[in-house]
Amino acid sequence: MGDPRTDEELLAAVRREPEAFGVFYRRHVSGLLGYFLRRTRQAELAADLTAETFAAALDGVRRFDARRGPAVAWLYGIARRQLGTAMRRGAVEDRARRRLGMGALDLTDAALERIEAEADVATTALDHLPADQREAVRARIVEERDYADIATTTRTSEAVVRKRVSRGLAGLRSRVEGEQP
Amino acid sequence: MTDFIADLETELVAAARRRARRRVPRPRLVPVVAAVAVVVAAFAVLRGIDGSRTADDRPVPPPGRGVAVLVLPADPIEATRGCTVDDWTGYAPGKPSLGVFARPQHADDPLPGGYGFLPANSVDAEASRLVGDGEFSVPVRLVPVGGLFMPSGDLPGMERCPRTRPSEGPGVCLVAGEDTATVSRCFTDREISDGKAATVTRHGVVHGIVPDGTGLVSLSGPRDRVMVPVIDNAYEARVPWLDTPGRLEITLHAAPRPAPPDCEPSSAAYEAVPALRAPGGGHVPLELEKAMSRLGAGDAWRPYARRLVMRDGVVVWVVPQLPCGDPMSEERVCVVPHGGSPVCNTPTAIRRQGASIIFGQGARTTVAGIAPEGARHADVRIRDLVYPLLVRDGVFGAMIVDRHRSNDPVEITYR
Repeated sequence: MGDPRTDEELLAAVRREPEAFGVFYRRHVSGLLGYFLRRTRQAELAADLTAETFAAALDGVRRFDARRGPAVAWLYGIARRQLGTAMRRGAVEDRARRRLGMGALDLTDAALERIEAEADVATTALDHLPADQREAVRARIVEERDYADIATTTRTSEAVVRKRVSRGLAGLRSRVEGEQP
Repeated sequence: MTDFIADLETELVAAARRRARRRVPRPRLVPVVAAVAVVVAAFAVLRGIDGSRTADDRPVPPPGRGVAVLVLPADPIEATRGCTVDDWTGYAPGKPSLGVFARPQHADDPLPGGYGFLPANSVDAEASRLVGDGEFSVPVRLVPVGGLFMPSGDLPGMERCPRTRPSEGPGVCLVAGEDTATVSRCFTDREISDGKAATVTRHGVVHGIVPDGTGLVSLSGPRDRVMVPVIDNAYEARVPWLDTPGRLEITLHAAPRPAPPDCEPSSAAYEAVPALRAPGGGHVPLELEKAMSRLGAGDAWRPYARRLVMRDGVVVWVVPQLPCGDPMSEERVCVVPHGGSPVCNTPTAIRRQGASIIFGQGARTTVAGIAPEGARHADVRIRDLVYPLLVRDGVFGAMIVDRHRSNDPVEITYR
């Protein structure tokens, strides 16, 4: 059974309970791998970007402010910056990993296949959401659009969009956690 | 199988733990003394003492294959105190074998009370080092010994001393904890270089010693696997699932080697081969490793190698061969097609004439290359047939369904 705490509660707990970051990681690693894999089409590059994104998130966890938005949006904000930097510089940064004393990736072909399979889990989980929740999650979390903007596009109210995002994320979480061994 | 997702989680949680521990206030030295010690230590580590190695120098660590180890519990100090034989002359103190011993000894490096309990003939207490940089859950010290002593219950008055194996030469003892809770286990240099130097220091906790150049250690048991970082030639792993004694497969992973600042592709290389600007990183296949090794290219090229998938699924790597301050070398950029050999040229020569390779694979022919400046197409003529290929980011490659024989006339022209 998954940890009942919200993402925001997990991040707030990391300082006194480091394992909370592991729970947060497990919830989102598949989604983030899928996000990077769809954009780079290279499993090793997606893995590298995923590792650096989570390292940057851990490195900056104290700066996360739940009042400014959900933790998952914050995580994908970091992911977008990592992707943009990688595209501009032609190389994935490893600054956060070095700061945390983490090692380099050592990926076998089997590991790369697992990464692609894991990304599929997230894509499948997203596909299983009701259409309105799926689109709301995609627009808010992946494309980082404003609630007001999404509401205008979908011809509904902001409150409804917020509810769809919230329900969609909860659905994703329970589905992805259900996939954990 | 390398499990990226589980490994990354282990590393992240370990990093989170280190951060959490770092927030616990540690005893402070007198600030000025501490500052001087830090400067001296940093300088010494950067320079190396007497030109000797530091923990970051790296003779080759054992390959990334696991070794099966029966991990024994460390002995409480009372179990071995007084088990030393003073007249043992088989082994003189040896030169400390690990990089961590190269730094100067600090005030808190020696264990208060000395090392009379160590089952070793000669102990180089002056070389004792407190390791782990405050990241381990208990103080851990490494102590070089001139000859691992073998307490033997057969000797008169030593019936209580534990039996161990015959002496195998110099080694290093790992001492964990302080006061009456101190435990220790000693390892030969050979055991350390083989990655077998690990001991259970308390239930569910393994400490170990590794050779220079090791950055991470993974410990796999029947029920789980953890990966932990190495600090000062030592590591700490929490393995609550491990029996005592218990069997582990221990794998040493090399520390990432930072490239010297002048080991980067020049702007001329990027201009000659725009594909080098593509996002990179990640897995480097063994085939490419071998190809670059045959060129004597060192390993500074790794972060800059770029993998491209060209027409017909042909995989092509473009890789800079970097001089890294060697005045006898010249920067070149190589194209390495899957299944083929590297072809390299200087950035200037590439801009002028490109670099290409063509080779047969059964009934097919693989063509790959870097086009000269401004070329958008490469026309490959085999005998009387011309195959036009698109140049992408300065690189082209394709599989042509046409048997190529070594004496076939081949010509590549660019437009």
